[in-house]
Amino acid sequence: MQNVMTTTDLRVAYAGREVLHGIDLPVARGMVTAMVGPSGCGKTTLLRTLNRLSELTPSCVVTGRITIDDEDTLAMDPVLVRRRVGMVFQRPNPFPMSIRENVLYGVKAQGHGAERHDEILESSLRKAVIWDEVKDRLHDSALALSGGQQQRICIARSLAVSPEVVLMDEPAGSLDPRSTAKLEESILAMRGEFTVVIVTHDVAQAHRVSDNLAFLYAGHMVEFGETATLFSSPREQATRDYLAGALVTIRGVDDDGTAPSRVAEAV
Amino acid sequence: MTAIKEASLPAGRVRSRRRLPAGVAEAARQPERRVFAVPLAVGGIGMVVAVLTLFVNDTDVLIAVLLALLAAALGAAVLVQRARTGALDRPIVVLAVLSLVAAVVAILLPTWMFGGNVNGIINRTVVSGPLLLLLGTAGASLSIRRLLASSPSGQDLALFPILSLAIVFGIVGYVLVLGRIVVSGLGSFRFDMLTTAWGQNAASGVGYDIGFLHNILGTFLLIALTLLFAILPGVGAGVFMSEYPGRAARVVGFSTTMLRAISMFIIGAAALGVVRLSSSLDASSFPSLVIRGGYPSETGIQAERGSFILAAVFLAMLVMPIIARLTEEGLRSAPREIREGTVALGATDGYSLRRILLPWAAPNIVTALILAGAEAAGSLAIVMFLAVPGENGVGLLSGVTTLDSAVFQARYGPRPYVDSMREYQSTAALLLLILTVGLTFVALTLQRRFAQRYRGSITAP
Repeated sequence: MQNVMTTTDLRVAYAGREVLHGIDLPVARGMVTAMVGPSGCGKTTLLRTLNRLSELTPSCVVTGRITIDDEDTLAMDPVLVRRRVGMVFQRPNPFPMSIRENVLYGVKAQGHGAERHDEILESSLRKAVIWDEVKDRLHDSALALSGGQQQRICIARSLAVSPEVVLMDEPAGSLDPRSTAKLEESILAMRGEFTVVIVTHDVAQAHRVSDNLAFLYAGHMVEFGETATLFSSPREQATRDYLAGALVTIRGVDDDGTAPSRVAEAV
Repeated sequence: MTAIKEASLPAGRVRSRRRLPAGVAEAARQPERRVFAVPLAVGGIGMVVAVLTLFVNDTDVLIAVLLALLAAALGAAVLVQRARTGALDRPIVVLAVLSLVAAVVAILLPTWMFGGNVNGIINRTVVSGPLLLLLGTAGASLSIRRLLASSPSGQDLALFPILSLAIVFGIVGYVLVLGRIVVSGLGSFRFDMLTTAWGQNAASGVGYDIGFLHNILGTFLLIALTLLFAILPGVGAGVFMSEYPGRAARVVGFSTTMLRAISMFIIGAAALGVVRLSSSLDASSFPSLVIRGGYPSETGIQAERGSFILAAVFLAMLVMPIIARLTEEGLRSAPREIREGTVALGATDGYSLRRILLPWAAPNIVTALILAGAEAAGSLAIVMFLAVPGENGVGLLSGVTTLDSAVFQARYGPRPYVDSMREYQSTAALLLLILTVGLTFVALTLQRRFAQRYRGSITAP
């Protein structure tokens, strides 16, 4: 199996305070990698570091190594990194323009061929499993759609530029169960063609959509492996507790680089 | 879609806000409270009368009568309440005493101060009218509190007289300032003034044509030129302050604010200084034309006192900070989600600015431009040093002339202009007023349209 992205000893600090203490995460091509962990464990920070969005915060310092196809992203132009690593946010954030303009925004921003716009529009909306719902109103404002539809428009928008990896930051965080089911449907539809890294609070969702699973706790990656394996026979007690719903908050843990095993003891 | 909207807005809610809240009417019916209805009525009437007396002669005596009535009503209410409940309502007592004193003052003051030979306007506008207005408001407000004390939303109604007092002050201000201009301006207005330029009567050579054509055209030209010069530095500084925060942006922000703090007269004097420097230039040379402006005559090009271009450059300095600040504010109001959305799609900063952020700020920018235009039209301090009556035409290199310079020069301009235009000063002022009010309306309308178009409903909760 080939990894499209890997992080090596990735450390992230905000205003001098380290929140990720050396993460080694492999992201397998064409698969869905899920990251779970209690609030504040650093999973969203990790995700936003993968497309260098975290450095929009001025005090953020990233050290270590992140590669995409063996190129060091930290040495690349961040705009080029973001063109290869797309992102879907927790809250649907369509632009105040038509559905069509939303989906083609990235394509136009990156200056791709105008003659393929209609084709890209339809195929992206189909991949995001929303084509049938919006095909007759492509020129209507995207803001008139429901939250779940908006989120799938945002997925279509990020797929339209054919990224190698799509990051999803709790994409169902603000959606109702039915919209969540639709969203998961579109994630499963992306599998194979796209590589997905998804952060989720919902352990069951991670189980449903992911191939690989990373469990993060207090800035450490406690355990990583195939989703099925982690659910059936986790190596660490903390993973077992969290996946079983027993471990919800972080307590009694130093965030100064303690070993995962000590994290497990503390719980 | 409509069904959802209707469902989310209960039909009764909007209407019920206009009625008394439930329970308030009951509170007012309690017998020991009902007595406060009388001072409430007197206070309310007092407020209305106090405003009316400002404009109607020989009503001074009414003010004193109403103040005395207010004192009596408040006093009676306190006594009745004391007889029933045994408690003494001190604030009401104080207000009653104050009203009594004010009534005495209103009667005696003219005699004390002006020896009985008082100018009624001074007394009623400066002393007794405001006294009645304030005490009437206080009386009405306190009475409502007492009347509705058992109902919390009823107590809120006590704010109403105070709020209406603020509205009254606003309206009185408008009427005092604008009333005279509108009345006397309309009185001497003729429609042919809009199509006639002031100047020596061409047909007979005797007397002067009266009109504002060149002033009106000049005002529009000056607005257009000013915006042309101010828009790039203004929007640019706004973008810089919002999008590239740091030491340099702080310097830009500070100097922008400082530019705004400079008195208009100093900017005007600086413009005049430039004109002075160019006074040794040949009037027909290009630099002189750009700075001073000029017009052709039988003896060649004659210099004016300052061209439209020069005036617009200095006005641009005055209005640039408005555009910069409003642009900055508009850009800063763009939600973080949308900013991150465009960055995450691999858009460059320039593309995000063009497609997302500047459209988002468009309502602010358009408002800024129109406010800046109105400011340019009304900034006499800069134009007055440079302006000419405008009989030599309107153009980039002509001597600057505007409606607002006409208002000034109708009194303080060159001799023939003053002689023929003195009585039309308020007509020029009225035209300027219409223009600036019109521009403000356009600003408000465009702001709403642009917000709808470029922000959608995303800011709505």
